Amino acid sequence: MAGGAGGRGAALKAGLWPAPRTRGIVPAMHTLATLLDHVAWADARAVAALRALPDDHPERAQGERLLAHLAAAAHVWLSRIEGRAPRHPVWPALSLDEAEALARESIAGLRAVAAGDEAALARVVEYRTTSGAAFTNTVAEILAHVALHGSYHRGQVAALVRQGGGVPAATDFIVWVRERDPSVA
Amino acid sequence: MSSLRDIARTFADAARRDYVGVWRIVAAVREAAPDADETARRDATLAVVSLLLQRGLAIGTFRTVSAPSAPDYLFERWPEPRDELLERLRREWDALERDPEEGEVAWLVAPADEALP
Repeated sequence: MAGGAGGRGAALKAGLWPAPRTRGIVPAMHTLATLLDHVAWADARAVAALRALPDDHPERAQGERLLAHLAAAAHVWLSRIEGRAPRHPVWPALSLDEAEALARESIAGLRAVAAGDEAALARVVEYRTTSGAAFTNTVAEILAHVALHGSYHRGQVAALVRQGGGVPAATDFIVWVRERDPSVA
Repeated sequence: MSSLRDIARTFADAARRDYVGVWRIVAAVREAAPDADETARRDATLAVVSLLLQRGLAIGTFRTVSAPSAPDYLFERWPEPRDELLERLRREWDALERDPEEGEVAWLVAPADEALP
């Protein structure tokens, strides 16, 4: 119906259908940067929720390991994009403070990469995984991976925080959009 | 707006955990002074690098040590004196004829005994 001659398009032209309200439309090239802005916010929230658990809770140690991995993954992917050696393994032993700092700095680096033009985002990166296999991906694919990878582990951290008696952080993308733009409400 | 000392302080801390590409400093300078022209941006970046070298950071590049299709990298520190380090950076930047992008020109890092963890 919507795509037919008598559908929404025709109704719009005839002024019979309300024009869609638009706000803050994100051009495709800026979507990755936006997703990485969300990652930085979500990571900080996950860290804060975990930090509220007592030091001696086993869930805190498990959550710290996951957040250290999240930070290191961003770090390793940044190093691959930059064509240089990483300084940390994918599963490092980092304190929560160190993981928070490494995540913040690595996401800032990836965010700077995401600000590149279309050619920069389409550049093919050659890299070797930690198990030694060689792959190639575009910069854009890598940035998308980093943005999506975090959601999985932040979910695990949220489950641990709840299990440890704390309050898990709401880190959904849409929550971030609502918080940064109150007119959404 | 961040001052050059603020930018240097941020990257001095980051360089204890990871290599900092010169392109990252250029991006930070560009963000702090979006209207600066290329020459001003380069001079400001070199001033930040000078501050970082004064703090004892090492500067160098990565050498590929295996097949180009699947590279591994080795950091090679540029030899001192400090004045020559800045001159070398300026020369290599000039040769590029544009601002460095990711992976280009040089990296800064804290010496191993200052690195965290």
